[in-house]
Parts: sequence; structure tokens; C-alpha cells
Amino acid sequence: MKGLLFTLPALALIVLIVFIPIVFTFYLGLFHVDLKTQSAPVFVGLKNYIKLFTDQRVYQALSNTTFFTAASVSIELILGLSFALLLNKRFRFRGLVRTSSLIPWALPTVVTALLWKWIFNDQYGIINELLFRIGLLRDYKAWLGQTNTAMFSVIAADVWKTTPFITIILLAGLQMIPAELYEQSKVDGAGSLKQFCYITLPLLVPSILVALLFRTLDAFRIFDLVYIMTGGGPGNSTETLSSYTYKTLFSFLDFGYGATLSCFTFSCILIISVVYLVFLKRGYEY
Amino acid sequence: MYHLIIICFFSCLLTCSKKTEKQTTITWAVGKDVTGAQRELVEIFQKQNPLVKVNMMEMPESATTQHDVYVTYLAARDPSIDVYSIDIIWPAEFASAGWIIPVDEYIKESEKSEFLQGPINGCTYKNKLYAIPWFTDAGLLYYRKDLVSSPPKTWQELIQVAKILQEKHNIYGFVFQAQQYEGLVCNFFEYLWSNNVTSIDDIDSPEAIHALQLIVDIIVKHKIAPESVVTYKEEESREVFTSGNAVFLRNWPYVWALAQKSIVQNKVGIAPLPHFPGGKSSACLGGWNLAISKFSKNKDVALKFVKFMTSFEAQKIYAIKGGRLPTRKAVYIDKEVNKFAPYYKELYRCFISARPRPVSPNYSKISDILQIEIHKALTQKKTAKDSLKAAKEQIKKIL
Repeated sequence: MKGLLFTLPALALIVLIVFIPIVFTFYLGLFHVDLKTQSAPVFVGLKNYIKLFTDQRVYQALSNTTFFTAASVSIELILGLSFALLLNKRFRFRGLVRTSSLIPWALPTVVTALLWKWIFNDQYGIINELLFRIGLLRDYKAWLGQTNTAMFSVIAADVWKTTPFITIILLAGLQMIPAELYEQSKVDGAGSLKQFCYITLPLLVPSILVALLFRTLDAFRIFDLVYIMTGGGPGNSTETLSSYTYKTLFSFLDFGYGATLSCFTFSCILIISVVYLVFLKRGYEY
Repeated sequence: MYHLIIICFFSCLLTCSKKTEKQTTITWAVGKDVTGAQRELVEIFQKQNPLVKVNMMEMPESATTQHDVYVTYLAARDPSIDVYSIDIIWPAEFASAGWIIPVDEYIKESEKSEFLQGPINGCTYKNKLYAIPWFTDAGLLYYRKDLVSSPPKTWQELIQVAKILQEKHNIYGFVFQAQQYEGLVCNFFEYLWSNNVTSIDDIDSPEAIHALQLIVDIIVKHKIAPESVVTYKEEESREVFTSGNAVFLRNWPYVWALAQKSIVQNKVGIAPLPHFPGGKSSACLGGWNLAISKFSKNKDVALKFVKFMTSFEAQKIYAIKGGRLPTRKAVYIDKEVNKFAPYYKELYRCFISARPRPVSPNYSKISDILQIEIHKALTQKKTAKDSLKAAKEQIKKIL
């Protein structure tokens, strides 16, 4: 009883800041609220939600978002793990390298997006210049102007920005593995590959799951990178759930449907979180 | 003793309130002041009206972002902004939402006719005028007059000339704005209208498909535009032209001043856009207008400010110092203005006949649909016919 009383203020704050807005958003989605007309909100029940499930654009956005999330998180995991293993070794200037590897993560996403927009620029971009000089490209390519390369450009920018985040979390996890385990396995005759597979990876699983949880949730809600680099194009092929929601709310002033889309994004994220948490719980049973 | 104190107290109150009663501050939300002309005009107004202070709130450069900021303020009924500068495509939307007040009663019919008809039409919703046109914009054709003797009259002519000159001088033939954003719709409408398609209901007619197919051919078949033109907005396309790398450019009047300071200065000509055989040259109407917020607490002072900014004197200063097209007909024939921009007189008929995009509260949704479908056609994800058919279906659902 005393415990509950102690946590009551914090719980009240969470209810106020988290639960009430979510419930209100769901409630708003039950109305037709179009700010362009001066009419009062009209109660339409689940009509907005039915519209959502028949909206082709939502499925396209969901597919784009899922592809983006899967691709960028997996690449970030592999790269992040490699960097973490590297940074765990002793070498000169390790402290400096560790600190500077955090710079991409520290930059505001807007700055990163503008930076990469220029890197992929067809006339003045560095990527075109480098690939042209090496001989891999015959002509300058419009990376952000073609459907098949635009998404990869955005993924590249996201990987650059958030790999340090995974690196740091995995580095912390690596440092929690007792050194004696490695020493003992050496005595038993294990090579580095066996050490990695049987000691490092299993003990790193909780950290990996935590890093993946954070990254998946963030990648699923991606907005600023896409908004600035491509604006949803070309031919709307990089539109994500968040950017479609934003457009519905602010460009079309359709707050009822926008609230519905927000709830949909929220439910997807909720499902992803639950799946991860189930794995996390199992992961701790050692 | 007490009476003395009370009398002093009340007389203090009276004098204090008298001071604050006279001084008024209004806030004006406007885009970035690149030339300093906006600040100059505000100072002139403040000098003429010593009891008024104008707080110029600079908005982000992008029109879409400005729209989103305005929506945030207006949806919350915030009275802190009195005057809004709104793009020519927003008056219908803002009026329908009840965010701006009609200004018919403050402007006489005779005064209305002193303004260009296009901008006035764009600011009119349900027969009421909701904003006063401040400066206007119209799509134009820029060309290298050192390479092209006389500007092309039809699109076919432009393609032929561009092809020849492109090979000869190793530069791009034609650049314009084809990124997936509002500017793409402006470009598209110019082709559409020049083929005599004037109603949004005919967006899937054979003439409309022919117009869209021409833009696709310009990029894909004739290759007179770089394929990266589908990522160009105004500045990217302008850069290519003013750095000497293109023969033709479709853009807004602001490029003129920049071209005179670039390496192609004195080599730039301006002309009306080409048209299809049997059609008429059509420019897309742009421009910004001043509207008064419904939630403003100083509507009369705001109106005074708006009337000043759209007066003859103010528009003349803004034309010369700010390089912006005036909305009052009289400014175009002023001697000093013509000395600064001699092309105003020649292209006056262009500006007079510039057409507005569909005036509707749902325009942003219509534009979004068109942007997506047209961009799909330009990036060859769909044929021109399929894109326009899909666009027509979706637009029908809205209207």
C-alpha cells in the first residue's frame, strides 16, 4: 500500500502526459473534424477507422515504413556490433575514437538530412563525383529523383546517423561480460570465432534486444529525414506513416482522419514493443 | 489626507491608461525579407502613424512550412498575429475555415479595378474578397538571347531549338521545376492551359494527356532536360541557368534580378511561355496577399497597415527595392519602375492574363493528388494516361 502511495505522483504524471492524450486522440478519431469548414465536429463512429483500412495510401506508407525499418535496423545492427567489438579492444586514441564516433548521433536530424541531401545531389554531390572518378558511374545519377534509389539514400543517411547509438549500447553490454570467461575458453582451446559465437553473442542478447527495441520504434516513426530529403517523393515512393499523418493534419486540415492515422501508428508500435518485451523476458532467463 | 491619496491614485491610473490606450502594436506574419524592402516599408508606415508599432514576424522560407505554422496559430484561435501574408492558393481555404475576415466593405469597387484581375479573383471566395493582393508572380520563359535569336512560340519549336543548341554548346536544353511539390503543379497547369484545357473536370481528356505526355517526352524521349529535373525546385533550376548551363528556363520573375548579377548577365531574355498549336500562352499565377485575422484585437489598425502596404507608393518601392511584381496596374507604367525593369511593359500582357490554380478550400488535397500522379508519370512509374485517370478519380471523390 505504501509503495503505491509513493509512486502515485509519478503515475499521475504519466497518466496525464501519456494516457490522456492517447485516449483523446482515439476519441478524436471517432469524429469528422475538418478545419476547412466551420462546422462543428460530427460524430461518425468507426467510419474513419474503416476508411483507414480501405485507404491504399496507408498500405503503401506502411510497406515503405516497414521496409525502411527492417533495412536500416539490420544494417545498423551489423555495423554497430562490428564497431562495438572494435572499440572494445585496447588501442591508442581509443578514447578519442569512441567520443568522435558519437558525432553523427549528436547532430540534429534536420542537419543530417540537409547534409545527406547535398551528398546525394545530382550536380554537386560527393557521391556522384566519387563514383564517377572511380569509374563505377558513367553519368551523374539523380539519387533522390529515381524511385529505386531514393529509399536507399534515405536508409544510408539514417544508418550513418544512428549506428553510433547501437554501438554505444552494445559496447556497454560487451564491457559487462567477465574477462575470465574468455581466459577460461582460451585454456579450453577455443578460437576467436568460437568465443564470439558461444560467449559474446549469447551474453550480448539482452543488450541487442534493448538496442533493437529503441531503434525499431524510432525507425518506424521516421519523419524528419524523409520530409527534408525527399518530401515523400519521388512519385510518393518514400512516404512513411508519419509523413502521411503530418500531411493529413496540416496540409489537408483533416484532424479526424489524422487522429485515426496516429492511433494506427501507435498500435503498430505497441505491437512491436510487446513482441520485443516478450523476447526480452525470455532472454533474461539464464 | 485619505481623499488626497485616493485622488492621486486615480489620476495616476487615468494618465497611465491614457498612454497605453493610444499605443497599439500589431504583428505581421510574413516570409523572409531577403532584400530589406519589407523592413523599409514598415518603417515608413510607423513614421506616418507614430502611435502604431508593427512587429514583423518572419516566417520560414518554404510556403508549405508557413502554411503549417499559420494553421497552428489559427486553429488555436490565437490573437497574437493580426496580419497574415498568404499565398494565392490559400484564401479560399482560410476563408472557408473562418480564419480571415472579408474586406469588401473597406474597398470600393472602383479601387478594386485598380488591381490586376487575376490576383483579385484568387482572393475571392463565395463572391467576397478576403485578402488584398500585395505582390504577384507569373511563370515566364527565360532564354539565352546570345544563343537564341527569337524566343519559341510553341513547345515543339522550343524542343527543336533546344535539341540543336544542346548539342552545339554542350549544355542542357531546358530546365524547370519537376520535384514532387506545389511548383510541379504550377508547371503542369501551364502546359495544360496552353492546350486549351481549362477545367479540372477535363484533367483526363486527350488534350490533357497530350500535355502531360509532352513533359514526359521532354525528359525521356527528347532528352533536352536532365533526368534530375524531377528533383528540382525553383532554386536548383535557377542555378543551372544562371551558371550558364541551360538554354531555356521556366521560372518566376525573381530570377531576373539574380541573372543580372550572374555570369550570364546581359545574355538573358524573357518571354511568355510557349503554347500548343491552336492554344494560347498561359502563365500560372502566383503571388502573396495580405489578410486580416478573425481573431485579431486590432482589426482597424491592421486594415490601415494592409491598405498602406498595397498602396501605389508602397508597391512602387517594393517593385524597385524588392524586385517584386506589383498588383496595381498603375505601377507598371511608372517611369522609374520601368527604368529598373524594362521587361515589365513588354510582359504586362503576360501578367494580366496569368491564370490562378483552382480556387477551392480543398485545393491542397487536389494539389497533393496531382503532385503524386504527375510525378509518377515523370519518373515513368505510370503512363500519362493512367496517372491522369487516377488523378481524376481521386479528385472526384473530394469535390
